[in-house]
Amino acid sequence: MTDNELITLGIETSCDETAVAVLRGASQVLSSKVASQDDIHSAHGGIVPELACRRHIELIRPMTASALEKAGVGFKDIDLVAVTRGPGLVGALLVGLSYAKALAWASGLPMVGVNHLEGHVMSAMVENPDMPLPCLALMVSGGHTELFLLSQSHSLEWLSGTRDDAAGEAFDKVARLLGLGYPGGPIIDRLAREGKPVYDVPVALKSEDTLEFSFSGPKTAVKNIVNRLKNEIGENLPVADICASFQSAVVQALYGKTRLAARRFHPASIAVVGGVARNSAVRRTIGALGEELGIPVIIPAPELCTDNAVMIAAAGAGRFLRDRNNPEFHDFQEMDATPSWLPGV
Amino acid sequence: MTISWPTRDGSTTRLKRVLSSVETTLALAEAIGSILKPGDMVLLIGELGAGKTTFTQGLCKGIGMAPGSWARSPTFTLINEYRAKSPIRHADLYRIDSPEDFESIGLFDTAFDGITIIEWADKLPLDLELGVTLVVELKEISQTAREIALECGTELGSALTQCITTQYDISG
Repeated sequence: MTDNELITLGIETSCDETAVAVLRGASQVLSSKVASQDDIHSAHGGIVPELACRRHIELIRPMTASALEKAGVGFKDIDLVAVTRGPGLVGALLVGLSYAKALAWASGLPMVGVNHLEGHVMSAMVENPDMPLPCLALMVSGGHTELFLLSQSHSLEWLSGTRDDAAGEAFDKVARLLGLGYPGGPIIDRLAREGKPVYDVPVALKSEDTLEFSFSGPKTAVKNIVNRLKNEIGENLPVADICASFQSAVVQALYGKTRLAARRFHPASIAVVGGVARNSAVRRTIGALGEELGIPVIIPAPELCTDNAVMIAAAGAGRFLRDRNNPEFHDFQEMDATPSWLPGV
Repeated sequence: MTISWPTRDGSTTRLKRVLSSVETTLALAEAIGSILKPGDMVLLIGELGAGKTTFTQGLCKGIGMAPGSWARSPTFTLINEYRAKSPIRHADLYRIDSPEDFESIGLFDTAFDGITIIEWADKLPLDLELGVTLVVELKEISQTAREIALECGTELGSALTQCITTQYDISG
């Protein structure tokens, strides 16, 4: 089969979502199914009521059937299986990995084990296959805040990450402090547009010569602001102004470190990936950084920013197409989950 | 302390102190980390922003995690694993609510022979057979000061009392 005809089945079960996708070639999405627990989450204020492994076991087969049906292909049409190997919860990862191994082995197919974070970075290339490399990728989500450099040979180098909380986690916890519900990110984004950043929310490491992030401070700063205002003016808090102050501090920190990394590594493009890439202020501010540096900024469509299997299929297909005859694609029987695996570390 | 899981040796020591700064909190946590052993389980209790992740960073440093690597909040990832002199599992129950899930995330997998640290541990059912080594409760008393309550078996308790009385600037 030619490169453009390769049919890849992508499987992702690293944490909360059970996701399956079918991809043709390197970037044509035939189907993408995500069993999201967000609806259940919001009813419980962000709590996972029925978690991980058991849900994945129940969902993996029907989700695969549904993704294949939507794509209009059968099991016999699959040429490659790509599956998330880590990082994530070991029990959750093993559901997807065992299913993928069984499927690939029974059908005599090659299989690629994909790093979840590498998948997020590669999500930028799904809609932009000609993205100029090297690309500086800012990966921001509830669980991660990392900077990566994707080289011209598609190798991924980890540059830095957060020392404490992830940016998305800080959004979620600030929303909880303000009683705004779940998921916190979109709510704060919306309210911040109606407010002004009048409160001082300091961000640690912001002006230091390090590429690392720290978002535990802004969360605690908001808590202190809320406590002080409750004493001074009672329960009727200026929520929009607090949201604007918090969001501005976080976005400025993301901007500052991305800019510092760009000056050190001279990328040909910048990608912003992960759930927080949906935030309007993040998109606007990093977009402006691209203009300032004269390089394109690529931000995937919202459904590719949150956890999905298209990115896993794309990362797997990319690796397979660059090195088709490598015997390691058929030597996956002993492949194990790697719960704490950062790419390139 | 309002909650109490049975400790490994069945006996109990309780200590309560005031930690005047973030540095004092980190120093005490590091000292405690250095006397923990593989197989130990530390439970952390405290509100949002009480300093559970900060305390964990101190513990990890004491357990021998390399300088320059950081214990991160596992709120979304649920369990983080770190390399140190003993392997460390750092878990967070903030997003977890049902008893089945405590098992399903694999926290009480007996094959693990490192040190386990659990944030938001007050969500754990009290009747769980945990083999807890130490329970730490942090309470905010000002922007930087924290009240710390420690509960553990007497053997670790005497080592802890030693730590607290000889090395750290702690009032209370």
